[in-house]
Amino acid sequence: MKGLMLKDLYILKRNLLTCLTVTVGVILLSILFVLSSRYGNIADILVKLKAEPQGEEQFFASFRVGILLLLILPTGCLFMINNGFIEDTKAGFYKVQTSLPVTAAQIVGARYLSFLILAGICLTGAFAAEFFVSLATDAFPFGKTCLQIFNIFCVLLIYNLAELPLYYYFGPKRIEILLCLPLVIFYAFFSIYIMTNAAAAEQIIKTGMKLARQISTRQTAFYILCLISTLASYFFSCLIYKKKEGNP
Amino acid sequence: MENVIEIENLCKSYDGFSLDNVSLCVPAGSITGFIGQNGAGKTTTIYSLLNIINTDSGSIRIFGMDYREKETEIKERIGIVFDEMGYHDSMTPFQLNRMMKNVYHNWQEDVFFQYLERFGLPARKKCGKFSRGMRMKLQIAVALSHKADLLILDEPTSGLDPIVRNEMLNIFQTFMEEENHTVFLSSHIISDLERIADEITFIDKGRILLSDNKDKILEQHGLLKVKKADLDRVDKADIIAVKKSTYGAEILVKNRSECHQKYPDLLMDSPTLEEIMLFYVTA
Repeated sequence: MKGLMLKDLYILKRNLLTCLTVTVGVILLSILFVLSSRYGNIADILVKLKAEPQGEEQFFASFRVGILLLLILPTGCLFMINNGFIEDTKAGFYKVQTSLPVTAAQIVGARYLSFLILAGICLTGAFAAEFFVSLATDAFPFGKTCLQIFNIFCVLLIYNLAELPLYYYFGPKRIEILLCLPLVIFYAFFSIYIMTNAAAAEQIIKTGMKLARQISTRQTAFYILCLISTLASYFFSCLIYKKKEGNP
Repeated sequence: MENVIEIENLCKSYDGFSLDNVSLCVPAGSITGFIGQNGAGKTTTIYSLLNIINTDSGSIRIFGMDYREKETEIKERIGIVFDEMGYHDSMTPFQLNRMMKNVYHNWQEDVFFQYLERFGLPARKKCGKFSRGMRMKLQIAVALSHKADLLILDEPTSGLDPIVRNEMLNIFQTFMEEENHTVFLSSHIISDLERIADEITFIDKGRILLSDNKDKILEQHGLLKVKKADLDRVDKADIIAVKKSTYGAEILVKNRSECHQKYPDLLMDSPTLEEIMLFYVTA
């Protein structure tokens, strides 16, 4: 199993470097953003906003969201595990893998562990970015913000874990189309809807905030859900792999 | 002689192709050549053997064990070379060594690097930059570095230049001679197998047409060269196939010595393995 994990990490090396570059970029952008809010253009806007009723509150809300979005950017690298499937297909690794003295559970397990290692790297990147931001401003206390990042990360993790069995079922080529197409269509309709209906956009943001609050108040349940998702995803992937074994 | 591979009544159907009750045995300590045209069913048989594809029916035993029951144990003892390398282009032999070290219990790192050196393969160069010959050599280095008892090779010499092909065949022969190892080698290049194989199995359109000791095959078959007028003299029961020409015909017969006695005035030649196969296909 360790051998297959090593293989995954070798083939995802370039992706991991991209992840590292994104993290460094995010750290730099976050610091610039924070510095600007103290001494630069954003600071000037802040002064002007202070004069307006609820201006400071408004600015701070968008400021927080902006920084948080930047901080969670490295966790987007989670999606890179898909490249493992794509590279395996491209190389014709299935036949090699099947001829190795490893079981189906070990093959799937190795992919999941590689995924979790990748997830750990992504999360460390996001935490590192937050660490530098917390040094520059008190607005983002390290512990609290890390927890927020972790919660968002868990949502992304659950999404990716739901995707993995589908990769085993449909294969990387078909699943890319199957997953991308609805997302593009949804995004297009969503954008048009928001642009034409400001109240709806506000409502969506409020719902999102409410959901985030609910996650914060029911953290234990949420983490259990995350764990169950991991186990269920692995279980279904194993089932699918075994079913499709000998039928590539 | 004990059999390392025993396949019985193997069936597998695809659209437009099927393996029809394939049965074959690979004796221990031998090189068995698996001959057939492109698309004859060689790769399908090998893939079935390795459980890469499911079979419809039939049984497969390797080292006397049921493949489905002891799959991991069996795979630990097999070295495999595919017609196309399945390793990632972005990986280097050095990384491959690290991977295999953690996959095979008996992985011999020193042996692997010795093979790399012998084959002139750079350890830190990406596999994607290797030529076809180098890719084949890399697969062979992997296959020979984990104390395998059986080597299964699917068209390892196709597309290679004669020098590399010759080098490969020497390696297989040396492997077989050391410690009573077994080689099961599929190819459509009959001259390669004629040179090194002890046993020959011939497959065509998913059916095994011939499976025996190579020397016995060459010894038993005869090529009668007859004039048109003598064609009817040859008993049909002796004939495998006839190739007619303007002046006469060439007849492949089953029992050379018997036919020689039966038709002493007819010219009898020893056919090559390639000629035998061609006659069988056209029969």
